[in-house]
Amino acid sequence: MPRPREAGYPSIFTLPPVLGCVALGLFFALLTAQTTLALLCLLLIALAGTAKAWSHLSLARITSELRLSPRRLFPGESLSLAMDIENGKLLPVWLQVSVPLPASLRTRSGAPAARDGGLSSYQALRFDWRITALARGVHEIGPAQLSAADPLGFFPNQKLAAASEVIVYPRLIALHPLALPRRDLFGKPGVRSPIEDPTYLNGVRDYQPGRPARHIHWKASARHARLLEKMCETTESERVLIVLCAEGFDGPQNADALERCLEVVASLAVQLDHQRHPVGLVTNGRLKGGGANALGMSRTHGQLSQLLETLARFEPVVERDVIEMLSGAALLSATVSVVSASHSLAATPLLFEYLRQRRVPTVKLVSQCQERELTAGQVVRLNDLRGAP
Amino acid sequence: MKRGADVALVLARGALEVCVMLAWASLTLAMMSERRYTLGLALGAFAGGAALTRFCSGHRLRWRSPLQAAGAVLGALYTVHGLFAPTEPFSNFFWLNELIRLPPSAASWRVAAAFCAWSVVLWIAGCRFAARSDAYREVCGRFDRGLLWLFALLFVKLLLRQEPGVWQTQDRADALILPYFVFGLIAIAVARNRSDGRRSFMRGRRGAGLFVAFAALVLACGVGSTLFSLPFLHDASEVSYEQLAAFAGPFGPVIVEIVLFFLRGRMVLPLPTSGRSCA
Repeated sequence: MPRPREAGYPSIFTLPPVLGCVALGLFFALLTAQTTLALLCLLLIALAGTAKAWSHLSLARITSELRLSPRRLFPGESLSLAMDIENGKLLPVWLQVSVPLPASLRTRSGAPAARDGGLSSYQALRFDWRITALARGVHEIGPAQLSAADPLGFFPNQKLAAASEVIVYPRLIALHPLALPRRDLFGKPGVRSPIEDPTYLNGVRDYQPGRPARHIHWKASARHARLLEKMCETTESERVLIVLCAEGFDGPQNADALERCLEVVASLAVQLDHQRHPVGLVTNGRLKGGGANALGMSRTHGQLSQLLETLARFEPVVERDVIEMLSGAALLSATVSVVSASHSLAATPLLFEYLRQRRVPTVKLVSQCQERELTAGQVVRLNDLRGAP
Repeated sequence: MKRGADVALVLARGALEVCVMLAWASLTLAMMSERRYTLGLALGAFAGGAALTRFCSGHRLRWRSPLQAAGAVLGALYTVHGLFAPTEPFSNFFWLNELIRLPPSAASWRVAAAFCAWSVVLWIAGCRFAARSDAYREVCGRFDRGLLWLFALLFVKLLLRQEPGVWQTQDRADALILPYFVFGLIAIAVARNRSDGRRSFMRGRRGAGLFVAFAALVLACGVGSTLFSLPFLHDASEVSYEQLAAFAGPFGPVIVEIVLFFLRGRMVLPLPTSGRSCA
């Protein structure tokens, strides 16, 4: 059972004024030849001195390591937090560990993550806690505070140990099906489809013998004086780019709306990935702890966790221009559909205008909108997309 | 391991409390008579009170206070029995009838009252000890309080020594200061270093770690126990010597000569005197 941390001095005989009085008592006892009194005073002074010197050495050769497992989780899930401490010297010490937790993480009992105990010579000690994640975000655990002292715990010395971070993804929720605006001309998207859509030119490459002659890009071949062939996109690649706009989500009054928006975006990304759509993400918000603001559309291993991590790191502070990001990264190729998530239609009018000009099929997910805006086409209220819990 | 630490903490805390009270009992009773309050009597009263309180709280008995009062009275009677009829068996209470029929002098009653008072005090202290928390701060607080009581005791002794003729006898209070200190440190260290974390030794250092831990444990417990019981072992040896001399009869001087033969050059045994310890 963890004990609460104690404040204040443990014994009055560790206080300098009291020790001063004891020293006076020793002087008096020596003057009057009171052997027992002198012995008691000497013992107390020696105790304080030894404890102080012991404490001074207590932090030497103390090593600690903070272990978290898992480091990535969803709200409501638990992680195991362990603090390994080793005393690599002959001197036994008392040690207290206190791991500061953010408000979004808490121990199972609700008590602070603080424990103490003795470490004898060359001993290792492990403290375990079970931590529950309460909210999305990138939460820093620590730096752990180590207090070491003599075995009586009279004069503790402190030092800071390692810190670590936990990534809590947005909560995944059930969603109503979202109809993506599709413009494929050559059948239903499928796995490794042999059919290429000649309308969606991806690029050119050297002509491969055996390929149909109709794929030869004659103009380019003439220009480069060698045979080049067109590379077209296959009809399976119905790719979805999620554009998350930070505008309008700032301020504590919008914190709930932001979390709901991120939950929908994360759930949608997972849903699309399960439907075998390559999914990408672009956001102009600040990412806590750094990270890529633009993730290209793919279905590679780790893409989804990277996307969820970006959402976990998201903070509603506009750092970049989302249009510049879209045009600079050349993400909007011919078969891309965009799902934008924003606070309202009015928050990002330039983005919608840009997408309209590029004729990119877009679904606009908005946190707040008026009824007449819903009829404007492809505008979906975030709350309407949320399914039954 | 945890259970062992808990037991060690209870024993050290108990010894801490007993040391202070026994020192004061030794001082006050030494001022009234030559009889001494024995370690066994003190431990019996204290442990009896603690055990009864523990038993009552464990079984949620409703009649806790009357039981504790009865225990205190029994302890006081045992003390009186030890003072006035140590050779009679305590259980048949025949000695009590004799005591009422042939009451001792008023001075003896005063001494008996003082002994009984200390038995009751120790009994109550045992009861309170069982109900007290064993948290680190509490143990430190008790250690501080005990030290202050010991300082007060030494101050009182100092004042008494200033009055010529008042202080004639030697008490055993001084001898309890060192064990108090040792048990205090053990109690504080055990209370401080308890932990529910998982322990192990560093790789390749298990032997050294175990040796140091074992040596520290043995040293602390050995020094504490020896210092605690040393004055009373001295008393016991005196009593044994007197008993030996009394029961050996005509062979007494021979046995004493044999003992002296072995101990000659190391110490000088005092001549047997009248019984000095209670119970």
